[in-house]
Amino acid sequence: MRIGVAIDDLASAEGRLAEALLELGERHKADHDVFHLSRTLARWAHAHIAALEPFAARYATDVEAGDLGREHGGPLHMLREKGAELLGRRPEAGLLLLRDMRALHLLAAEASANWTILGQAAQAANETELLECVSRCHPETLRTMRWALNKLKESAPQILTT
Amino acid sequence: MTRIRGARPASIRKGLVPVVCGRNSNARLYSPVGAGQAREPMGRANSLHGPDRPRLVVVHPRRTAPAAEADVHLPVRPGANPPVLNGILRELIVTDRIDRAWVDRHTVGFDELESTVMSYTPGHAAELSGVAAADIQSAARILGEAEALLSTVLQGVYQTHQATAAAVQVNNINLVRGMIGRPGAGVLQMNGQPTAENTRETGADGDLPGFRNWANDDHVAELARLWNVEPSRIPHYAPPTHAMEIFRYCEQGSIGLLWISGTNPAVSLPELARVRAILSQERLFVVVQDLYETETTRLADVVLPAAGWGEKTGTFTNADRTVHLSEQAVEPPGEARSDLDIWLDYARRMDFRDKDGAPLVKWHDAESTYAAWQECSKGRPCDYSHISYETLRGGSGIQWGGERLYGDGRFFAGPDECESFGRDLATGAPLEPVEYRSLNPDGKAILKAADHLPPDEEPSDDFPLWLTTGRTIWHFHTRTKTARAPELQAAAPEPWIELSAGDADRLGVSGGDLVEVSTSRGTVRAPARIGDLREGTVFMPFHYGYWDTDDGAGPDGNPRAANELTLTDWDPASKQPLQKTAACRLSRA
Repeated sequence: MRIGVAIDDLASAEGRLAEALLELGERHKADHDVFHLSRTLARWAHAHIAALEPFAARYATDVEAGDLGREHGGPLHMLREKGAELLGRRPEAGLLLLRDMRALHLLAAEASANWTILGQAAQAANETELLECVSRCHPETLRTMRWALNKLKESAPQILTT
Repeated sequence: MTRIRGARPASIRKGLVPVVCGRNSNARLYSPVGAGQAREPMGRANSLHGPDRPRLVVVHPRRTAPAAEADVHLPVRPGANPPVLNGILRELIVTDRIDRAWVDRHTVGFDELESTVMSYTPGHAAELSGVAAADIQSAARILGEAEALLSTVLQGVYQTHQATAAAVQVNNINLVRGMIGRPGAGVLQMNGQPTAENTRETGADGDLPGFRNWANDDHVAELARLWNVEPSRIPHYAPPTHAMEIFRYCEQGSIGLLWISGTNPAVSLPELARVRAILSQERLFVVVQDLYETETTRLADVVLPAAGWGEKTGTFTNADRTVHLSEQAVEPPGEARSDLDIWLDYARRMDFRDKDGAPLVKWHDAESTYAAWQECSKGRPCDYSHISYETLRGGSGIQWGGERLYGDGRFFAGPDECESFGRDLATGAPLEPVEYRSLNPDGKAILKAADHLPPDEEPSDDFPLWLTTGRTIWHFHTRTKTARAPELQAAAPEPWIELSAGDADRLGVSGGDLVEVSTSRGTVRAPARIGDLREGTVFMPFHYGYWDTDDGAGPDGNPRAANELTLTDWDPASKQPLQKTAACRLSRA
């Protein structure tokens, strides 16, 4: 069985997604909905990595749980947020938001594809616990993906035509 | 999403169990603008003190007047409504106090709701909400045994973390018990003052008129026919832009003209320093239309004096769908004109045209505008076609939709008729039409489940207390009218900061002391009042701003508006600002 490989891929995709979400929030602090929601959604991604851990052990891969206790308030983080507050008053921030949300959408789509792969494998191998984990977590990754796409839909007209 | 509206307060009677969620209903009841509610009071004075007293459950962080009358008061931690309501739903399900046959016939989504609420055991719900587990069980027993159940929800829920998620769980309590559409059973989701219901129906809050669905091409085409324009002239490529987002666009510089009518964002929106900075920008041209000078008119480039309700003709519709005609009694003073006159004049001067080159706006006064609205609303849930000015002159106070809107268990929720395909309650992303169609092909009520999410701001070492803001019965909104009524002004002349006796002891504060509350946004000072509210929670009324101070627009060294303190954040689904959950610290000034 090579289920371990799929778990590996998935955990690192969710890890990148979580990291991208936190960075997104810092870069767009003046877009308050993006700032607040990105942190909620990063918590989801971290929780997914934690949920995968027991299966990673069972299928002998080495998933490193996301940096759950990630400290907010480090110097780099503060610098980003401060910069975002200043830049956030300028029209260029809108273009940057479009670029970042597009990248986020792609990361979420990658993680979602990985959940699909793992779900298929779990069904074929009749691994019910793993399948239960997939059906619990995958919808949340899809919600993150839809949020990013919807934010693009809402923002693009205002940002590109004014 | 199932939007539930329109039970009738008059049908509150013996044996009912009103649930009041986050709502100082006393304050709303006797508020001078809550005309419909004042005429038919919630029965506090009569039935709560009469022989066949209805039982009352109140969910509210403060021991408000209704909470003090309640059989069970759940003093919930700010922002923790969903765990309490999920806990109650779980109790109803596990003790089999639900109407399963009704649920199967009239709703979808029960299985998901059940699996979501199952983890909210009384103990777990108590831990998340700060309410005693036994009280959650008692509340569930009262709600579960009620033969008629009426629930009401207001700003206490709508302006708190997970607002829509919580409001929807109140709907769910009534739905799983089959308590809707008959005398004494229903849900009153209170929009606010009577005009707040009108704005939602007519689309003045940014949605399309007549509860039309922007994601339904047929609805847009119908509207385009009514207005004689191409459908592409009606922006419907994305959800409407809400007020908080409009302010963000102003801040970013992509909006250059902002027209504010009949509201006072320089006091009512969160994070006032930010709001003032946005409205003061050189690059933003601000037009403000209001009855009186306000903090916002002080920041305007142009002020348009508007007529008050007695100075113009129009209709009001209450949250219970009752339509009233209000005829002009006196001429407006000075240069003031009605809002309608101002906009008709604007449309004329802008020379807006329909697709055949005729003037876009074909109505010319209140009655002809209303007639156009009757035509526009025809066939929609809010059908006014049978309620003309003539009918209203023969006896004002007629409900659209008849006396029982959901009497037959029909919910206007079919994919082709619904006003919205709903949103993800956590992210706000709209559902796709095809998703909605497969979820709810037969237009039943949707039981939408929601898990608890931690608030976006929580108490910390620097800001150890919860701050929640709210209302007093003496004032409406930002006092621009009520503080000009001497009796009301005398009854509540200045703001106060309310804290629990335990916190007051610990902080060495006595009633009347000048205290200071700070958040990361700002600081305000006001006299302390020791009140009956949760320990660890501070309350402040949001009404007070600066129009009757020397500066007129801002604090000028004496900050007293509660919204100096609140954070810019909004509910992802409803887009209402969250003004009742923030972290603060308090000390003697």
